[in-house]
Amino acid sequence: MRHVRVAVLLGLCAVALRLAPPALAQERAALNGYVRDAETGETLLQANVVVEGTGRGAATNNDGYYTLQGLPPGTQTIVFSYLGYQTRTETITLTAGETTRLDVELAPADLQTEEVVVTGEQDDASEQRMGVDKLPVATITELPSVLTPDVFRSLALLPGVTTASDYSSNLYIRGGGPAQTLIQLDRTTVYNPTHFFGFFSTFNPDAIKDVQLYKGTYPAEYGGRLGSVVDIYNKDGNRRETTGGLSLSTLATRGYIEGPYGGSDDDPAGSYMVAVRRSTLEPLLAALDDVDGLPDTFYFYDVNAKATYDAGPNDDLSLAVYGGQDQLFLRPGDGQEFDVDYGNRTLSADWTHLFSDRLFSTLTVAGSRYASTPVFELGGTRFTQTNEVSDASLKAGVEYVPGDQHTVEAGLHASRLTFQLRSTFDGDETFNQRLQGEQAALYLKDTYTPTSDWTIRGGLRATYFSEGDYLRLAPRLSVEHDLTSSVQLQAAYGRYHQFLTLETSQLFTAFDSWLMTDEGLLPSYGDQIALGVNARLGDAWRLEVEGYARTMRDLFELDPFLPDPAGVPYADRFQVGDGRAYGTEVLIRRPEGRLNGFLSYTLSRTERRFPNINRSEGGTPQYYPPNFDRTHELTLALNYHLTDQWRVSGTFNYATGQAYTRPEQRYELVDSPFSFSPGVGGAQNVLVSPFNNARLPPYHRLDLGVARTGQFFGIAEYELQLQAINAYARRNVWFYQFENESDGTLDRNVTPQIPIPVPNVSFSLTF
Amino acid sequence: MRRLVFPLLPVLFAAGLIGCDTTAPTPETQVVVEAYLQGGAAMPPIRLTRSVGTNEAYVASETAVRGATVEVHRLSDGGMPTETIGFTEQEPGLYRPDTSSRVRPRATYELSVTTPDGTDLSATTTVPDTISIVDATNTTAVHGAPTRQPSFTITPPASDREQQAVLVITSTSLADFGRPASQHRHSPSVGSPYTG
Repeated sequence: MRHVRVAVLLGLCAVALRLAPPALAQERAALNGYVRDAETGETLLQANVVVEGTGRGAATNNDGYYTLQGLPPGTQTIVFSYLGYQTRTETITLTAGETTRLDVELAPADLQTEEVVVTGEQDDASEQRMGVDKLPVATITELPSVLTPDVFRSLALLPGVTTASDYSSNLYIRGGGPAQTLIQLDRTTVYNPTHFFGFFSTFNPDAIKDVQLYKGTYPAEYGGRLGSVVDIYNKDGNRRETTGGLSLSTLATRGYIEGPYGGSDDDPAGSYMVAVRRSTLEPLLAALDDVDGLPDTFYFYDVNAKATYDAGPNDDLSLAVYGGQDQLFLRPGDGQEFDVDYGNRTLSADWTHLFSDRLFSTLTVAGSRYASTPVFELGGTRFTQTNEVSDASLKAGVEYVPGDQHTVEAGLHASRLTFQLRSTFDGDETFNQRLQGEQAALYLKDTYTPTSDWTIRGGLRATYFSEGDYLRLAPRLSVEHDLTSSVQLQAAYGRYHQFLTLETSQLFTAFDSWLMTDEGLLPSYGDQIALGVNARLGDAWRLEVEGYARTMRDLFELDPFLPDPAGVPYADRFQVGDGRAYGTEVLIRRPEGRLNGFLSYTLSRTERRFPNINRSEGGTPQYYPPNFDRTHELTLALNYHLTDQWRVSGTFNYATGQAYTRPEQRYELVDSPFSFSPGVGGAQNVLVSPFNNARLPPYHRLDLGVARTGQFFGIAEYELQLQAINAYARRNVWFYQFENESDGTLDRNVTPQIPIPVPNVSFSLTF
Repeated sequence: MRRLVFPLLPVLFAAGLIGCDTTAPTPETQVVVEAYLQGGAAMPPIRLTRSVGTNEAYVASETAVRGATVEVHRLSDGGMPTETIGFTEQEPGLYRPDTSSRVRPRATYELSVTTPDGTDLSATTTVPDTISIVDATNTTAVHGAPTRQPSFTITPPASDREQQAVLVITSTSLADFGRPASQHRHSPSVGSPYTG
C-alpha cells in the first residue's frame, strides 16, 4: 500500500516536471502583475485580463496575480475588468523575450460614472467558470436581510442553493447537506460557521473581500467534500488611507477600521483590518423581562483581524485571525438551567512568493478550532456535553506558466483533525470519544488553452486519510468553448471523496458533531457532471443555465436503529447508504446599473437511500427525499436606485414545501417496562409512517427595503436602511407537532417560521 | 435559432431525470406484538393488537387481535429450538403461557405468531444478564443535594461485548416519604445507556 502511495506522488511530480517552457517562448513576450481596487489597494480575485485582438486572456488568482505568456511583441491593448468595477484599458509595448510587469488598479463602478463605462469591449473580457458564483459584498449588505446582513443567507438566493428554514443559515447546495460543503475562511476550514444556533453565519460582511461559491464540479485544488466549496477571503486592509465604519441595527452593532501602516504614503509597509460585531439583543430582552421562557443572557460576538506585510516586490506575508462566540443562559423552569457556550477560532499565516515571472507560490499554515460546551442543570444535577473540533493544517501551492497554452498548478495539503465528544452526568463521565485523523493531499492541475475559444482544465487530486488507511484518487475535468463572442458552452466532470460526516439535528447547530471514517467504514464518494451555457443578452443582461447530476455513495451516518451503542465496534455504529441529485438552474442577472439584480430558478431533485428506511414489501430500501429537497425554487432580488440618495430593494422567494413525515398509522404499547408516560395505564403512543412521505405547504416570502445615503455632518457618509422581512405576513410552516387527544384522535399543531412582518432598522457610518 | 436551442439542453436533461419519481409504500394496518423478556422473571404474557389509521380515533378495546397461534422457542447456540412454550388467549388479544417457566438470562428466544388471516410474524432476541445490588449507600437522599447521593455496587453482568453499561433507575414515590428508610423500594433494571 505504501509503495502505491509513493508511486502516485512520484507520478504527479513527473507530470509537473515534463511541462517545461517551450523554446518558442524566447521569441514571444510576457505580461504579469496584480490587479487591485483603486480606492483601497485590495487585490481583486478572479479579475479578467484580456489582450485585445488576440483572443488571449487570463484571470487573476486568489492573490490577485495574473500571468500571460507567449504574447506577440509590439504594442498591445490590455483590457482589465471585474464585476462591480469600471473596465480599464491599458496600451503597452511588449518586447520579445522580456516580461513586462503591469500592476493595474480598477475604480469601483458607481452611478455617476455608469454611463461612461465602455461596455462594448467587455464582450471578450468575461470568464465565467462552471458552477462558480461570485457574490459581491455589496449584494450582501444592500439586499433586505433578517436583522443583519449575512453571507450565507445571500448565497442562498442563488440557484441551486437553499437553507433549511428562516431560522437556519446552513447551506444546502445542489442536493448536498452542510457536511458536503467545504467552508474556508482565508484558506482555513471552518467547521460550524453559525451564530445563534444557525440563524446567522459566522462571517461578518464588513471584514470580507471576496466570496467564491463552487456549487459543484469544483477543481482539484479543493477536496475533502462531496459537493461544493464556499471560499471566503478577508479584506487585507486599505493600503491608501485609514478608513472605518460603524453600523447599528436592530440586532447587531458592527464596526471596522482598516488602513496602511509603516513605509511611505505611496508605499506602505503593509495594511491591517479589524472588524468587530456583537449582537445587541439586551435592550429587547430587558424590555420583555416579564415574559416567561426568555433567556437571561443571549449574545454573540465575533472579531476578524488581518495584517499584511510587503516583504519585498516578490513577497507578501499576511496573518489573519477570527474568533467568534455565542452565549445563551436560560432558566426554562424551576430548578432548570440551560447554559450554552460555543464558538470558532481560526488562525492563518500566509506567504506568497514570486520565484520568477512564471512561478508563483503560496504557503499557508492554518489552525481552526470549534468548541461547544452546553451545560444543563436539572434540580442540581449537571449534564454536560463537550464537543471539540480542531484542525491544524499546512497548505503549499505553486502556479507555473510554462508557455502561452498551459498554466500548471500543483499543491500539497496536510492536516491533522481531532474530534472530541465528552459527556458527563452529575460530575461523572458517561461518554468520551476522541477521534484523530491525519490527511495528506497532493494535486496537479493544468489549464490548457489550445486556441482562444477553447479552455480545458484537467486535474488530479490524491488524498490519503489515516483512519482506515485510505488512499483515493479524484480526477477533475472541465471544458469551456466560446461559441460566439457572447455565448459560452461548458461541461465538467469530477470525482469527490469525503472522509467526514456531520451529525446534525438541522434545528440547533450548536450540537452538531463531526465523525470520521475508520477501518471497515469506507469514505463516501461521488461523481458529478454538469453542462452549462452562459450568454450575454445585450450589454446589460446575462443568462446562465446549468444542468447537473451527481451521485453520493457510501454515505455514512450514525445508525438511528441501533438500540445500544455500548460495546459496539466503531464502524458498526453507522448505517451506510447512498444518494443522488440532479437539476437545472437558470440565472438571469443584470449586475450593474440603476436597476440591478437577478432572477434565479432551480428545478431539482435530491434523494437518499438507507437500510431500514422506507423498505418495500420485499425489504429493499426505497429512495426518499431529504427535508431540504425542493422541486421548484424561484428567487427575485432587485435593487433600484431612485436617485443618488434613495435606493429601494426587495427579494421574493418561492419554494416547494419541504418533505416531512406525516403519520399514517398509530398503535399503543400498554405493557412497556420502559414507559414513563403518566397517562391511563402508562400507555405509550407510537406513530408509524414512511419517512418524508408528505410535503409542507409551499414556502414564499417577500422582503422589502429602502435606504437613504448622504453626508453625516461632513465627517462621514451615512446610510439609513429600513426593511420589512416577510412583508405580507406569510405563515410558512416550520414543522408540525402531532398530539394525542383524549378522544383517541390525533391533533396537528403548526409551528410557523417567521410569522409576522419583522422590521429592521440599521444606520451605518463610513469614514 | 442556434442560441435558443443550447440553453434549453440542460433543462431537458434535468427534466427527463426528474420525471421518474420514487414513492415509499403506504403502510396499512399491521399487527403489533408486545412481549418483554426479563432475565430471571416469569415468562410474561404477550399482547397482540393492530395499528389504526391516524384519521380514525384509536379505541384500545377494538384493536385486539384474536384467535392467533403464539409460540416462543428457546434456541440453542446453534439456533435450534430446545424448548417450546405455547400461549393461549385468555383475554381479548392477551396470550398467556400454557406452562409456568422462567426466562433464562443470556438465552436466545424466538417468537412466532400466526394470525387467523394468515399473517406470520417472527422475532428473535437475546436476554441480557441479570444484575443484583450488592451494596447500596445513601439510600435516603435529598434530590439535588451536593453530597450523599445514592450509590450502588452491583454484580457485573456477563456479556459477549467488550464493554457494557448498566443504568440503575431508582424511583421513590412521594407517598413513600413517610415510611422508614428500610422500606424504601429500589427498582433496578438493565437499560440502554450512553457509553461507547
